[in-house]
Amino acid sequence: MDNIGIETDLRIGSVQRGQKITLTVDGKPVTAYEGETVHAALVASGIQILGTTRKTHQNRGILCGMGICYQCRVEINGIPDQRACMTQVKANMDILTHPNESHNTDMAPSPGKQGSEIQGEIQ
Amino acid sequence: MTVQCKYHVIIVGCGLAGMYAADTLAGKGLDILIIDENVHAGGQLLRKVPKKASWFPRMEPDGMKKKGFSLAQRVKRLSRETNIPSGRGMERLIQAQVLGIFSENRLLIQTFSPNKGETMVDVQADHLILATGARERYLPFKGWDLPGVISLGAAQILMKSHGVLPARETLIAGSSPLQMVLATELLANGGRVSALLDENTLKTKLSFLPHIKNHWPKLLEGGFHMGKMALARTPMEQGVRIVEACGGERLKSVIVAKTNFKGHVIRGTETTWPTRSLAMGYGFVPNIELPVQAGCGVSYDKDKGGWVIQVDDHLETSVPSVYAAGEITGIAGAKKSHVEGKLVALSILEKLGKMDQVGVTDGKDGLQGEYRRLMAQRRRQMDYGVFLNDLCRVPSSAYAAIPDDTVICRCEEITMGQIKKSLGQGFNTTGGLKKATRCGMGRCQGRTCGPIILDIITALTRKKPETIGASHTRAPVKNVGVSAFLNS
Repeated sequence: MDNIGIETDLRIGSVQRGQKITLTVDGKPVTAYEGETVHAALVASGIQILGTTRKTHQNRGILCGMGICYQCRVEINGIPDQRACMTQVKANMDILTHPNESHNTDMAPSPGKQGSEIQGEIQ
Repeated sequence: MTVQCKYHVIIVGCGLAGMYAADTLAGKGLDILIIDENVHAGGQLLRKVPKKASWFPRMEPDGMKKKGFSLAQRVKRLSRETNIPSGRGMERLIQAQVLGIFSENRLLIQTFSPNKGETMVDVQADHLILATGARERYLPFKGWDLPGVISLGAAQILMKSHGVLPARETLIAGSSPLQMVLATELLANGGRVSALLDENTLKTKLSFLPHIKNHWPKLLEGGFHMGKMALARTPMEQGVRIVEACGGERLKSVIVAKTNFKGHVIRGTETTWPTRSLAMGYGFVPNIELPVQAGCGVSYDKDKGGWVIQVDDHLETSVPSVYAAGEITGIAGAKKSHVEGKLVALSILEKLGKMDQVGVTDGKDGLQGEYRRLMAQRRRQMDYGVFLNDLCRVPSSAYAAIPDDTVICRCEEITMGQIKKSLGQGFNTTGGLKKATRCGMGRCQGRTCGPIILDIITALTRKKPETIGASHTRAPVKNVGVSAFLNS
């Protein structure tokens, strides 16, 4: 798995966890446990890069971890710009981090989605 | 949209202040709605992942967390957890964001309906308690936007809520009491701490001591954490600032340097720490965006953490029947939130004419005596707040010295150079800079860079924060998908 970092499992051993489930991250399976956020599951698998910035295309990762900074936006089940730190994992979630993408997803609907599911953003 | 349901009291924020208010208001026949963005009750302080038994010693002399956790259990028991409010009894709306507060205490809320997904609800309250808490403050440095550089709070949330280490080894820097707490938590969970690098010197810290005279348990807690660090032989350095976070794709190393008594970096003292994870933070900022949108008056007080919501003795804001409690009236920690949660609930019960049901037990002089006691406790905690905010303070010169190529607004990717250029052209207010550069207009709506920009303008122009002004906020105060409107 080339998108998975060197540190494979950062979960603390003494913690009692929920049901083991599998997510798909950029097309590859990643283990998670119910009760975790998407962010925690990604970090535990060594995934730090959650996308690129809009203008200079620099890699970005999380900062605040509590829903303030919006740096951890990922696409979940076709819906763009979901905060990884505020979203609970669910079995078979399909997550895209777009690490090498250069297009601006800010106001555009995600490709390959039904017309009725218009996802935009009001600021 | 029409009002879907009405409540006697709506509480925004289920942290310590919100929970104590709810607990005090419970059982009096009132319809109450508690709203929080998270699933768990307890806010940022009270996070706990179920753990197998541990031998690692824990210590918390003021007992606020222990009290808080049992309170969270009580609030969970007393309230009905829901995604769609019904208007009856005590309800706790989870994973919901208040997007705006409008006339007659009408709230527009984004929530998740099990069958419709993201949706919108419109509720109204006779009395509204805002307890939106605080977030972390930052001092930007080159490379602070690299993946791997996280806040102290983020590292704590990973461990406390999810039982995940940020990395095998973490470097801790900045100026915040959270540094020590994070370091001991990392060690307790089998992680390693490369070093603990503190912006403040021991000398500055000692000069803050007069403010802490009545708060020895907090000092004891600090000493306990320090002892554990010493036992683990963790390198601890003071008077050290982050110069640069390096690495192309992600964080690989951090360059730090010593600072002199004026708060300037001393050239030639740079050292490099290789690390995949840097946790940093520089104290706290109150989350005033929602109250400001509602029209609540603000005032600036550096001892309270910056811009705070103005309240009277009953914690009512400048908007009638809108109250504020907890960190948004001044950063001062858990105990002040506790006191204010209770105080705000008593104020509302008095207004509702439910005083006979308050059951103030420990006072001969009834409610007025209870008020006086709570107000005295509040003042004492405000005093501790002065110490807390002093401990985190970064000298103004540090903000003035940020290199031009450092990103300040991460969302819009605006650098220090661009901000300085616009400042030179006369855009020397928060609003003016925003219009000139777009800083603060991105996804986080200025929550991350807003306080930083205020400090930069203050440092470079010597203007007072009062003349620079607080940022205006408008509804929706949080990002919301168009689908939420379409689904409702």
